[in-house]
Amino acid sequence: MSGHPRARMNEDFTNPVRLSLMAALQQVDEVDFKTLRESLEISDSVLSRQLSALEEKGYVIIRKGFVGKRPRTWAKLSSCGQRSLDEHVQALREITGGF
Amino acid sequence: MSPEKNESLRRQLESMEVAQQGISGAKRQGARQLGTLCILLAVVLGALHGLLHVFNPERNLGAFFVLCAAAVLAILALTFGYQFLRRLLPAGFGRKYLIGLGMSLLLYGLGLGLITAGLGAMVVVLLAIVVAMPLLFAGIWMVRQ
Repeated sequence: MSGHPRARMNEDFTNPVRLSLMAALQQVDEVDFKTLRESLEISDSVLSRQLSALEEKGYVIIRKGFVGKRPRTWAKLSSCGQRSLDEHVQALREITGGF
Repeated sequence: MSPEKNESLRRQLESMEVAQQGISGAKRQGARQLGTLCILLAVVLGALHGLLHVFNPERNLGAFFVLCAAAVLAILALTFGYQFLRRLLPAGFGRKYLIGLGMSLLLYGLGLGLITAGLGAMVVVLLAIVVAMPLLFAGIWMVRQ
C-alpha cells in the first residue's frame, strides 16, 4: 500500500450514521432491522435509507424473510463492505496516530 | 492536515466505538441464545446416542424407531424455536456452531457402528458424553461470552 493514508479513506463512510452502521455490522454475522435500529438509536426511516444506500454500493447484504407470519429484515456486511471498512479504519488510525 | 480535520477523523473513530458498544448488549443476548441451542442439542444428541445402544434395532426395533423420531422432532423444535427467537448472530458464532454440530454428528455417526456391539453401561455413558462434547463446549463458550 502506498501514498498518504488519506487516499485510502472511503468517501461513502464519512457520514457518521453510515459509519456507525458499518461498525455495528462488523460485530455480527447477521442482525435484524429492529435490533440494529435500537442499538444505534436511530429512526426506521434513517436506518432504512442508509441501509439501502450501503446495499446499492455493495457493502451490505439485505435479506428479507418471515418468522411465522411476521416479516423480518436481516442485514450483514458483504466481503467488499468488510474490506472497505477495514481499509477506511486503517487509514483513519494512521492519520490520527493510532487513536 | 489541520487540527480541525484531525479532530473530525478522531470523532469518526469514536463514533464507531460507540456504535460497537451500543450493539454489545444484543450481541451478548445472541451469544446466549445460540449457546443455549448448542447445549440443548448436545444433550439431545448425547442422550439419543446412549439410548440407541440400549434400545438397538436388534433388541427392540419399535423402540429404536420411536427414539429416532423423538430425536428428530426435538431437534426440529429446538431449531425452529431458535429461528423464531434469533435477532442477532455475533460475528464468527455461526461458524463455531457449525463446527461443533459437525463434530458431534461425526462422532455420533462413528458411534452408531458400535450400537450392536453390546457395550457396558459405563462405556455407553462415556460414548454419549463424547458425542455431546463438541456442541457442549461450543455452547458453554458462547453462553460465557
